[in-house]
Amino acid sequence: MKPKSGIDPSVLSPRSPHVRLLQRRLFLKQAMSLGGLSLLSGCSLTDAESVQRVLSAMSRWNDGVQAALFRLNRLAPTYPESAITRPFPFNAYYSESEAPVVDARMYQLELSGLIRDRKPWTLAEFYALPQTSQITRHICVEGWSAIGKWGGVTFRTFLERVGADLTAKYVGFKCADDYYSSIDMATALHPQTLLTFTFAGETLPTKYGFPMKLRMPTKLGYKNPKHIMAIYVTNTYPGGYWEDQGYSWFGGL
Amino acid sequence: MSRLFFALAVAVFAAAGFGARGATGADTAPGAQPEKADAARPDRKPAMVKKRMKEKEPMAGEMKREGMMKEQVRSEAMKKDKMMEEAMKKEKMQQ
Repeated sequence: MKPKSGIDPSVLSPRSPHVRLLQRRLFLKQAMSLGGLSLLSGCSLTDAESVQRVLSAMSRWNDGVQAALFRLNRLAPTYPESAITRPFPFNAYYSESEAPVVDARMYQLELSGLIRDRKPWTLAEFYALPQTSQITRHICVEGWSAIGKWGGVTFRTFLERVGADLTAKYVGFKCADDYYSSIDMATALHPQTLLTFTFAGETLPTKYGFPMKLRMPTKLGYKNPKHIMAIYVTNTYPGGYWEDQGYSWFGGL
Repeated sequence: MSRLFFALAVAVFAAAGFGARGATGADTAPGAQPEKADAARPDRKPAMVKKRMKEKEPMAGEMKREGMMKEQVRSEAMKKDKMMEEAMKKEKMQQ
């Protein structure tokens, strides 16, 4: 049966719950459209300075949240030997045959910044420190992952040995392949952060970062520098190569 | 004829003298071979790193943006080095 007067006029009042519901839905729909539009414009205007500034600010905020959530006692998963990925993939901004060859006899790690004893370190001195190993998953920002076994000294042991200022904010790395990166002190002191000299029980091969690679199972692959030639401790934000190109600086997992 | 012969003789003599300086490494003439000259210097340490990268090529991997070249990493690293050295000098002075 058809109603006599059509729609009840009270339903159309702005104060009616039905109208308020419709207005809220419309607002949400418009907000979503606006968000979508801004993302779309973000795609086409990625080189625009203002867009970059906004994205950088968001990335820094994201880094801050990741740092706040980071816990020294929260460990990354470890795996049995049977889970190791063979062959372990090579990944860098150059091909495997272009990896730098470092002369082990000549090698001396350079130390600078907020470190008490800045004398250079030889490989023999590193090998004399207490060694440990771990089997963990390397997760690449490109979308692949692989499990490997790395051996070396806990980075905390080394930092304590050289008298690094453990209250400083950052630890920076310079590498033989010109790559550079930096990490937060909390991650540097994490028990699974290792300065590694072996891979799969053998001396770290050239392609995986001889003479040493910093291995952090709590961070994405590009945060794990290879072929380390210099380490410095600082309170000035050092960034990193990929980080300066817009990738997350914290790069946590 | 004798003038021409004299001019030629002067030119040959000058060229020979210039070449000799270059070959002995006593001069930094463009023709000199820097690697040989460096090897002859007793104070020069052998290189700790042998680089094999072809820098004038596009970057490998999936992280790059289109058009990025390998040599960009070295130039960015040099800029960063300079910036951090200055920053750390200031930090040391503040200590």
